[in-house]
Amino acid sequence: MTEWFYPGAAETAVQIRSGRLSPVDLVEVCQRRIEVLDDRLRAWATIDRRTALATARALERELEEGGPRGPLHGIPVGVKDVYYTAGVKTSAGSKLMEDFVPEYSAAAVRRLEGAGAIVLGKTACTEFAANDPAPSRNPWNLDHTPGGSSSGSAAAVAARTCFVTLDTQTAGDVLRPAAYCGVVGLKPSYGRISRHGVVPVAWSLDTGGVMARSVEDVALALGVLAGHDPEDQSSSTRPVSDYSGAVRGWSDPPTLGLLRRYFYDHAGEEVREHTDRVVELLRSAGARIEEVEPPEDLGLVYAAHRAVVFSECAAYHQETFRQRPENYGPKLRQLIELGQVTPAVSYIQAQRLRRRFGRRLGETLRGMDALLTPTTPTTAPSGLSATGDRRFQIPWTFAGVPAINVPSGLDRSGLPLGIQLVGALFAEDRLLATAYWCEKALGVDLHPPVDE
Amino acid sequence: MVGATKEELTDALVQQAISLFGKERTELLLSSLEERAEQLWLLDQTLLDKEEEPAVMYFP
Repeated sequence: MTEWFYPGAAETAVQIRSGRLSPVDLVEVCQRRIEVLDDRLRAWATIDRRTALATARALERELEEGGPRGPLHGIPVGVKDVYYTAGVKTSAGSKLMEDFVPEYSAAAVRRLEGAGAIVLGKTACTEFAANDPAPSRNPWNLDHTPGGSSSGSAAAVAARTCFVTLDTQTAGDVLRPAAYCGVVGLKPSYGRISRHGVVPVAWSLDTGGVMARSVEDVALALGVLAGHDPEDQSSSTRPVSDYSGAVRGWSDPPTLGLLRRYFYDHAGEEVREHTDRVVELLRSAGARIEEVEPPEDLGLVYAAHRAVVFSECAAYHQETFRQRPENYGPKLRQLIELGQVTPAVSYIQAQRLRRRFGRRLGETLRGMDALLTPTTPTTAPSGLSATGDRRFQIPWTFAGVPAINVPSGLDRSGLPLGIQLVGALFAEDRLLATAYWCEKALGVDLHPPVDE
Repeated sequence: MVGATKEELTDALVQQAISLFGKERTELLLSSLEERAEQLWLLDQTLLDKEEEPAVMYFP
């Protein structure tokens, strides 16, 4: 097995710029790891070996002749298979799109490439990023789900087959797989990353996100990806902060609000005990942590999210589903059917509740750097027929606020645990700085046993 | 269906499912329809301020 000596994306980018590391070598190492590991992990849906190597060679020349193209110059990345990639198959995990090759790339993919990233290929996802599982397996235990819908991305980053992945979250699609696989996963505010050229699940919920091995790395990627895109109708025009600068510049211990209610009601004993230990550790490192109450009944928020996602998903698939229902997996088929019978009044009530929840959440977060919860009720469940429980991640997607998973340890069976930090709308700089502080205080660096 | 009970909501969803997908398919969906009815009932019970408008997920 190829040894993995390279640090994370931020440090590797520095080494590439200084000429100590070669983009070609990096791509070859990643491709060798994919070759050796992916029969077991099934993290990648499509690999474009030739283009990735050609891009690496071009970037090597470009660096010598004119300097780096951007902050991700020479960094190998993966792209979730719902993002369009020009000339590369984009199937969204669906039979219906198995031969689809887009003529253009999604705006977010173009941003990555414009910053010098090398797209190795497409990472596997659940069917149309909904509930029918991808073939991917958890690198910590192949009999356990890696989570979903960004299943392959989490497995790919955890197994060190790439440095960063570009993902999406509609319910818990970034944070849950990130937690199950022991990597950092960030879902920024709704509208922060362009979704132009992304196969939708539910328009008012779909949010671009990223995974990487460290908070510093996701901050670097967000700096490249964030920003207004006139081609995405929900893209925000708010200015983009210097996320990497915010992470590096932070020194004061954060003020955190611990949410026990709802989360501890649904979490397993080991997760509750672990989260309490994390809280004590962060406190002893200087964090100010007080328990706060959820600003809304989160069971109700969950119900409202379901009404919105089912209805919008049914609307998106209406035409195709009518023509070819047999080409849909059983879980997506059911989701669409439930959307078709959801009354319009319930959808509107859910959206009204959503506005109230967002406002109340903003009030709860006032004076706090972030809220803290366990990211998932349990570690990755065994079996590959489902992708785990999304209820801990849904409230933040519904409110549109940023949330991040920070790996925090392993459970007794050796599976990753994570804490979820939730920030105020468009305060990604503050959230990332807080997450960076917590990451350093916890001192957890997880590497799955795939090389043994 | 403001003021409807969980059972009435379930019946309404089941009837609509039968008309859209047929009896056989609705049988298979029954437990999910009951779960949906429970969630919709929860939403129906929620008192929202008259001035609370639906969220528009666009943050300029």
